[in-house]
Amino acid sequence: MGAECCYEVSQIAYIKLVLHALKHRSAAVNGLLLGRLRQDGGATATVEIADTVPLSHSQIGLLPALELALIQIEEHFEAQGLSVVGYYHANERHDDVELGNAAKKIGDHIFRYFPRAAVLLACGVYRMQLHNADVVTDGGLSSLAMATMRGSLVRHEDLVSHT
Amino acid sequence: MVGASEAAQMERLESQVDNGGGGAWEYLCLVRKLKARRSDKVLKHGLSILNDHRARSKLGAEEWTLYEQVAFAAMDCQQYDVANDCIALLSKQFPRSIRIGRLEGMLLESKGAWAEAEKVYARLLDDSPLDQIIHKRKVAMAKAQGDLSAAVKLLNKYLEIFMADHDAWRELAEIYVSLQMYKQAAFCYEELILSQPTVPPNHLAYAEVLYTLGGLENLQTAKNYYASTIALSGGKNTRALYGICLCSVAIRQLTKGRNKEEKEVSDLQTLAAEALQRDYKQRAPNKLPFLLSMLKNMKLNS
Repeated sequence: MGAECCYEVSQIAYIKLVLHALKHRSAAVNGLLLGRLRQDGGATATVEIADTVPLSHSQIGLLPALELALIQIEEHFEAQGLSVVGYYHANERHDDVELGNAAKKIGDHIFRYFPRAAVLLACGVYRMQLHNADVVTDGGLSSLAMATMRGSLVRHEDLVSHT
Repeated sequence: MVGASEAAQMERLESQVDNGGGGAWEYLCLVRKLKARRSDKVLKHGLSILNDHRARSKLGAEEWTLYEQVAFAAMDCQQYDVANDCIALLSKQFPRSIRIGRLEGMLLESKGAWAEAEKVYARLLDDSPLDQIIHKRKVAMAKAQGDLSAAVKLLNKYLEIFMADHDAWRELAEIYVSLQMYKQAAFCYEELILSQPTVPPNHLAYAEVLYTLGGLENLQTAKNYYASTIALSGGKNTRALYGICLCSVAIRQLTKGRNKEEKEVSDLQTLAAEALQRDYKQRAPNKLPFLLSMLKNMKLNS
């Protein structure tokens, strides 16, 4: 999180994140960001956040779900050339824009494996805070998000609903 | 906690009513019974019954229960006018009722008028100081304003009087987990297990908190509670099965070099691994490869 670094959030990653938060409106949700590091040949590097894996919507401070997810994700996404590049979190209360302790700890853990790890705090459908900087999505992305939200809400599943 | 069959029944009724197939009253009764939070549906279908004279008169005395349910749903969906109207009708029918007074307090809460809500609840508590719901509303207000330490204090005070309130113990445990106060959360789950020893989710949650605390003794106890969860839920709890594998790996890492632990560990772990594989083959065969590679990793690397 120190050096010059750009973060690109893909549509699918963004949509999954928002859908997850919307499905569990009265709970905090979190999940992992997957992607790759792209060296553009200059001083800046870009972290492409290509996909997300929703993790849980209850008891976020507990380890077992997180560890299971990290193990299985590393295995599966390695084949696609993706690795864990960050973590997303959406707080329970809509006006809570602080990164809680649990989120910070998980972020630190991921940072140890990937020094440019991003921690995205979703503060609303169209606004996210990147740890240390602000990431605002553009209009095109958000209208696509609205369209897909209606149908996909019910079919969306996270690790905790899966087990 | 909603059981799987009841949840399925509710989903079925929901889609039936949504597609115009009738059964709205049945659906609303089920939602009320299961205490599910489906506010937008309840609001839509509840209002459709209440706004129709014939449907409303068919309900008889149940009409007022529906008004109350719709008022809650309206507050959750920020439709304050609807909630206000329902509460007005209810208070005309039942003047000076504490139950309606609570609704008025909740309406103020939902609008964010914390001080006024506080006043309403204080007045109601004067009349009936042992009203559990009002005490819990005060905890909810503290939580909604983000003051978790106040919520914890209030809940602890509440539990000193009403120590058989399982939901309150569970809520306290979850707040402690979110504050990362795992030892205190473990205590709450212990209370729950003592009073409800055959309820699997309590064992599961306790095991997860112990695993998070870490340390050899906690991990071994966690494994026991994962095992009891599996026993109580007839072998169907996937998280507990995974939990056993995770515990075994963690214990093995901590006791490297101490040979006698290894043999007893692998029996339970092998059984859990087999059960997981059977489960995945049946319910999610396309995800079986993840499971297999993960299990392979666990046996090899630790």
